[in-house]
Amino acid sequence: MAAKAVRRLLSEYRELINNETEGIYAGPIAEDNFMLWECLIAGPPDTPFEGGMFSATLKFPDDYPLSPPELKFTCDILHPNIYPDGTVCISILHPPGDDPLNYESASERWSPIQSVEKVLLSVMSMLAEPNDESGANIDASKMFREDRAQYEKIVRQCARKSVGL
Amino acid sequence: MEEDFPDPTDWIQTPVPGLQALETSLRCQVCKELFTAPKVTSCGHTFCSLCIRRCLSTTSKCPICMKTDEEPRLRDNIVVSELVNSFNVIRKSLLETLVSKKEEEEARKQAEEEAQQGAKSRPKAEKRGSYDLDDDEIMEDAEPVHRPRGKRRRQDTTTSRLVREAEPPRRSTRTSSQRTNSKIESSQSIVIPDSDDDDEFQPIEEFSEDDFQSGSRAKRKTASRAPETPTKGSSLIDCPICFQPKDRSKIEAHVNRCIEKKGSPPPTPVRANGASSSTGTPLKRQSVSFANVSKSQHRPPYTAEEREKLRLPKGNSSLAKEADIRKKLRDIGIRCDLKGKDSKQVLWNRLQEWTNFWNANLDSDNPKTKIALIKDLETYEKNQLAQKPSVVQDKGFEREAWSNTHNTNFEHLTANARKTVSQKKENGVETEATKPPLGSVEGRQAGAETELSGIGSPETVEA
Repeated sequence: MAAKAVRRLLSEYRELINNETEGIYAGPIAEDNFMLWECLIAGPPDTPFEGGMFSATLKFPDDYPLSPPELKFTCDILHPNIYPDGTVCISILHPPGDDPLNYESASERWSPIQSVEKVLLSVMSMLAEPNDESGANIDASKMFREDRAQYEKIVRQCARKSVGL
Repeated sequence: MEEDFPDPTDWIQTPVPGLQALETSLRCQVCKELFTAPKVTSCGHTFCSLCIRRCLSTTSKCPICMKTDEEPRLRDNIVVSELVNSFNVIRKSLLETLVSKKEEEEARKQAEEEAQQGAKSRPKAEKRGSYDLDDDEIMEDAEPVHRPRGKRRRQDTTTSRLVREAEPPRRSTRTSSQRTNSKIESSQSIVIPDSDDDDEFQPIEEFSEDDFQSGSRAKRKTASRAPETPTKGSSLIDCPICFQPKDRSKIEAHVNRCIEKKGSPPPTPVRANGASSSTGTPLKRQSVSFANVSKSQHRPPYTAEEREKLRLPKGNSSLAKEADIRKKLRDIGIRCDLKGKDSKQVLWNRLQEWTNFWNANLDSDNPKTKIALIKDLETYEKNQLAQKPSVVQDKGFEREAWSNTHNTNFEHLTANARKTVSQKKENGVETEATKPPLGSVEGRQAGAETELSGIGSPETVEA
C-alpha cells in the first residue's frame, strides 16, 4: 500500500473519531485495506432527505491526496447529481486543473488540502441543494425541475428505506 | 498499524485544548504531518518541501488558494522549521505533563473537599511544610514545561510573592513574618529546616527518574492531603533522581547536583534558537541533535550555495527524448526497465519523482545519501504499482479463469484485427481501421476492457 497515503488516511481517521462532526461517520471497512472506506451521511434537516442515513463507499487512489477519492452511494438514492449507479458528481471530487468547458472554476475542485470530512460535508450540502443545471441523473433532474412534489415523495421513500423503515 | 501516531486531537483531553489549533497549524495540510523542510509559496502558504514539489509537478498551483506557482519560487520557511523542531522536542513531555496535571488537579479538588469537611475539627492543620515548595508550585502553575531546576531560583521574588498573596485562601493562614522568611529563603536559595508545624512527607513511590516535575507535584499532593494523615517521623526524603534518602534540609541542593550530574536536561526551545543564531546559517541548526545519527544514512545539511548548485531542473516532457531520459537515469544510478521495457511516460515520471526527492532532500535538515534516496524512490514506486491491480479488478476476479473462458473471443478478436490490418495494407486506406474489432465484441465482453486492451488493441494500433 502506498505508505504516504495510508499515513494521511490514518491521520484523517483519527481526526474524524476524536473530533466528530454531526451527521458524518466514516472509516475503513477492513483493517488490511485502508484505501477503501465506508461512510454514512445523514440527510440534512429541513429537506426531503431528513431522517435518512445514506451509506456510501469511498475509494482512495494510491496517490491520495494528490488525486481525489471516488464516492459511490451504496443505497437507493434519487438526486439530480448522483448517477443511477450511485456515483456522485460533485466538483470537489473532480481532479484538479481547469475544466475545459469552463463550468467549474479551479478553486471548487479537488486539491490535496481537502479531506474526507470536507468531501462528506460538501455531499451533505449537495443533498440539500441539488444543482439541476448539470445533472448526472437526467430523470431526477427533470423530475426535480418539473414535478417537485413527486421528486420529494420518492426522496422521502428513499430516506425511509435507508434507515430500514 | 503504528503504535505511536501523534495527532492534534491528543490535546483535546488536556486542560489546554487550544493546543490542538497550534499543532494543526504546525502540520502540513497535504500530508497532515509536522512540517519537514517547510517551504513557503509565493502566495504565502507553507508545505513540506516534498509535498509541495509533488503538487506543483502535477498541477502548477498552490493546493490552498489555487494560485499558479513554480518550484524555483519556493523559499525556506525558517521560522516554521524552528517552531516545528522545538515543538517536536517538547511535545511528548508537554502532553504527559498536561495529562498528569489534569489527573492530579482532579485528585487535589477531591482532597480539598475532604479537607474542608475536616477543617472544622482541625483548623490549624493546613499549614505548609516548606515555603520552598510554594515557589515551585507557582512556577509550575504558570508554566508546566520542563526546565532545569536551577533556573527557578533566579525568578523575581517580588512577583512570585505577589502571586503567592493572590493564591487560594488555603494559604492565608500564614503570618507576615513567615512571608518575609520565605522571601529571604527564595532569594538566597538557602533552605532553612522547618521547625513549626511540620507535617510529614511520605516517601513517594511514583517518582520517575527523568520526570522531576511529577516528583515535586507528587510532593504537593501529599502535602495538601497531609491534614488527613498528620504523622510525625524522620525528616528524610528520597531524591527523585538517584532515589537515595537525603535529609530534607539538603534535598534542594542535592537534587540540583543530581540533575547536573545527569547532564541531560531536556533541550528547550531557547537552546534550539540559540544554536541557530550562533552558527549564523539556519541550515546548521540541527547538526547538534542529529550528530548521533549513523553516517551511512545521513550527511550534514547542505549550505545555501551547495543547494543552488545541486538543484535539479524540472525539464519538459514533450521536449525530452526517451534516450536522454534513459541516459540521465542511468547516470544517476537509477535502474530502468526492471520488468520489461519501460515506456517513455514511465521513465519520465520516474525522473520527475527523482527530481522531487532530490530537491526536497536538499532542503532537509538531515539529508540522506544518494544511495538511500534511490532506495526510497524504488520503494515509493513499488508501493504505487502494488496498489494498481486492486483498483481495476473486483475482489472475486480471477484473471486466469476469466481468460480461459473467453479464450475463443480473444482469438476471434485477434483474427479480426489481423484481417483489418491486412485489408488496410491492401487498400491503403485508413477508414475506420479500429472500429470493427472493437464494436463486434463490445456486447459480449462488457467490463473486460483491461483484458481487451492487453490483447486486442496492440494489433489494431500497430498499423
